Amino acid sequence: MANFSVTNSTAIGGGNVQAAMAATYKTLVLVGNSTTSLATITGMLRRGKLYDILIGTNGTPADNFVEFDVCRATMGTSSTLAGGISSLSSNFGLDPADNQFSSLIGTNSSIETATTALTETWYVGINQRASYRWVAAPGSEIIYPAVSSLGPANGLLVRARSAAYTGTATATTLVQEQ
Amino acid sequence: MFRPGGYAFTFSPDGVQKEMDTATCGHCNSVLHIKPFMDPADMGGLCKQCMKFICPKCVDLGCTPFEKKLDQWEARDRALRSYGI
Repeated sequence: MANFSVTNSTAIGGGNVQAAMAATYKTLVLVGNSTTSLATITGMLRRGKLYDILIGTNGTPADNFVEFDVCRATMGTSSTLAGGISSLSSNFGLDPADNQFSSLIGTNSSIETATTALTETWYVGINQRASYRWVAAPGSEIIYPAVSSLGPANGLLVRARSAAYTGTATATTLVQEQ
Repeated sequence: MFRPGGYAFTFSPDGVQKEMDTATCGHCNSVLHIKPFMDPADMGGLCKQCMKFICPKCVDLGCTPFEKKLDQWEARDRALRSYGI
């Protein structure tokens, strides 16, 4: 069970640039299974657990309301449209001795229709000046199932929206792949 | 809260602003923030079949543990892929 840290920073050189927020949700980080996972090794679909979330904004400080959520989603088959950076998956491991991430990772999705959001599992609204961190106790993580794109929900999205703030938002998630 | 399912805190420019326990629903896997001195009736409840905390949305919906739902989703996916769909 390897642990990974996935952020929507573009410092490692992959993914799309951070998208300006709007009144509709923008996906900051997405993790999950897809046909990309199947292409790596046939039948290689794995469960994963989201166990730590750190969110905030990196625009000019102001008093606005920003909403963040984690929702279950059906990943599209095109990881490129979703800002896929799975090719850099060896960069996310917290332990260099572990295998690289075998599922799909994406950041700063450029086309929100590449994913279909289903149900919300975590939601928080905070002031734009504030940061927020959630840490799960063992056994209480947010889990995505080992299913392909045929499944009802094969991944998780960390999203943000704000009607007033039009800068960018940040998200760091810690994921454990089973 | 006794044995919380997680911990959440917000930071403002002045430091830690608010801290609270969280609980994860044993039926739908959603995370609920537990406010200090919150009325237990507003938290959802304890499923007496799986003995897991459940959120208000899952109260009165019967007991289907989330682990069982995961198994069902994965079995369905394996079946669909075996059919070549």
